[in-house]
Amino acid sequence: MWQEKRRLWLEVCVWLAIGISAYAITFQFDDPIQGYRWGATAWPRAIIMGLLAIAILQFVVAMRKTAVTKRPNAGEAAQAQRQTPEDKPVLKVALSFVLPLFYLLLLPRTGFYLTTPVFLLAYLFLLGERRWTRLIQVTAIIYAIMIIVFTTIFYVPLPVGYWPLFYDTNNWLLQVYR
Amino acid sequence: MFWDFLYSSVHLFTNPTTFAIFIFGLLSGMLFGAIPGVNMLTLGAVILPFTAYLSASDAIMLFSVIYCAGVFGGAITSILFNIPGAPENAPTALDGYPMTQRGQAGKAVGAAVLCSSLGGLASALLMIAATPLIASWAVRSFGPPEVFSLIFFGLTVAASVGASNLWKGLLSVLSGLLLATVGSDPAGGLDRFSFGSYYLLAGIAFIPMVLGFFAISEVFVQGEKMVMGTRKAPKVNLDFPSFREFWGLKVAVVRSMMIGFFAGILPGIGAVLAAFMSYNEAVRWSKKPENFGKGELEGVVSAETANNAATGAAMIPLLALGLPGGALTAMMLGVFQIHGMEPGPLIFITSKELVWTTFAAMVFANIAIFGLGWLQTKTVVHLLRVPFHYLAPGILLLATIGAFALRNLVVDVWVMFAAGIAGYYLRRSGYSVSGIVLGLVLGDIGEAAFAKTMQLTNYSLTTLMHRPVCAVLLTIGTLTLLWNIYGAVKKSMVQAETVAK
Repeated sequence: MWQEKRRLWLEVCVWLAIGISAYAITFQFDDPIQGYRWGATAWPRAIIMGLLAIAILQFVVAMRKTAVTKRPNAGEAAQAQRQTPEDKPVLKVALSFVLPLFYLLLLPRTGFYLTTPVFLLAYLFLLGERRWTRLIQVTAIIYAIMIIVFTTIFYVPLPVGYWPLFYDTNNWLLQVYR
Repeated sequence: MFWDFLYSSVHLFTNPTTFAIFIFGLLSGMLFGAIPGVNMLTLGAVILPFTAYLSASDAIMLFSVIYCAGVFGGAITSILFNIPGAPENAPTALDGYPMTQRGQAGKAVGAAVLCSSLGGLASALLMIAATPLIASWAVRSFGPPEVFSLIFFGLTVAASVGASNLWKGLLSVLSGLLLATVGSDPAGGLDRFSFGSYYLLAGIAFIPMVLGFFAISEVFVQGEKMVMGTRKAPKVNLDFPSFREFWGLKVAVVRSMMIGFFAGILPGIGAVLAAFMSYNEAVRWSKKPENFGKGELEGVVSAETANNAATGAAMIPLLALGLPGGALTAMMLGVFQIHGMEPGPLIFITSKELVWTTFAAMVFANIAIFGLGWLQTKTVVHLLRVPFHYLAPGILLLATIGAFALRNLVVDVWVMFAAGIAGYYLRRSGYSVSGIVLGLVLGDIGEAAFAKTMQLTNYSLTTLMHRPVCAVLLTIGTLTLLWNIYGAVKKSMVQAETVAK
């Protein structure tokens, strides 16, 4: 129950933070508009007030419901503790977020054509594929399909990077593919 | 009219270039719509520059066929992977994906094929019969007050769809509306929430947001399940819905056709609102509304019939008035510009061949969807057999290319990933990403309509009630909202009392 209450408090605090900070920012553009009395702030402020009202209403209703629920007994608390996820899967889940972001960070710097196969290998490995032959095969197939469709057929100008060696290598690969 | 249609049909099938372009549009629209991570908008953006090498008639025909096929194709990924191909396919996922999880993917896709074909065909035929009449009615009857009222009504409807409870649904829609305020305000062009960024000054691009909220967040959700070992692969099933099952849904199909067609006529609103409204009406009129969201075939049928019925209708404001009905029809305006043409009432006189070729192509595209779609049902469903850890990197990569290809900006890809992460947490917490996207898509149009309405009515809200359409929509929307809030509070109190006892 206390976990549920904590979650509710966190949720309402997030909405209040978003609403209040957005409302504060509206003062930066509350200049009058000729021909429109209500200006640029009326619409966003109405939405923000609605958002805050609904968030508070949701919190109040949910807290009332939680308040009449019995407290969990020691057995339930122990069970909840046993269900806490282990460290290793949590790290893997975090990596599954971080890896695509890292790929995106590198993409404009090292280019699409060199970075993508490495990303594919790493992501497949992270998701559980351990057979090296399968890793290479699937990476090659996905990479080949992307190159054929978007580079060879549709001529989509994908990033070639701007780091010295990568820029030249990506451009050379692009010429080879086309 | 009949002879114009016949002549255009003969031209479509006998001219090798036109026929080849028709087939290309059909297959590529279905394919891009059916691949998770890209959609018909990506395809449209990529081929737009190439249309300069085509005749105006072939170019517009190509986009109209891609529109029909792409909306249908987007249902495939909605149903199989919970990744709608376009915002108008979002309600399809609400019941289509649970059907896949229950091993009924074939039935869901089969229903989507039938209904998309029927809805699109009916819409195309009505479009042919009534474009000039409907266009002039739409202009006379629907001004900014009516547009604002319809958007208000549609958003109150959407708030009750897709989220774990009404509060989260309302918060989702309001969040989408707030995101839509980023950029320039429609009344005075003042810079809002841009923080000095040129990117934000133009508003948050909605396609990367859609890709992020749906495709990327789904990959993250499934990826987490795979890493934790809790993911269950859905069973593959190739059953097509039986005639009896389909006949039992005839009322839903006809109702959805009407909703889709009339919503599709309205510029800017089109298929997205049509799909949500149709789904909501299906829930409202069903004898078992509690089954929706858990794999109810009527949910798939209603959403897919409506969004395809809107495709033909969306061509009406585009061709007759030069007003786009959605993102793809907005690209079609670009095609007109490339060829130095301007859509409007005169186009029916100056470019009759273009108009009738487009009409004929849409009719035959919807007929072809039935045949090709049946084939696709038997083949694409096998994608479910591919282990998801092979599909996930491909989806991520396709979405990355899709977001980048729009404007060649890496910032769009960052926006997509940020939306993906936000979507992941929002979905875990029971919020509706469909509601956010709907608010984002309709927010700009709604605010512009509201600003014009206030200027027209001299800032008097009560004047809106003197206009019949506004009065009906605003009253129903407000009553629906209040009733839903009352119901949610009462339900919560009853549950609390039950638990206390």
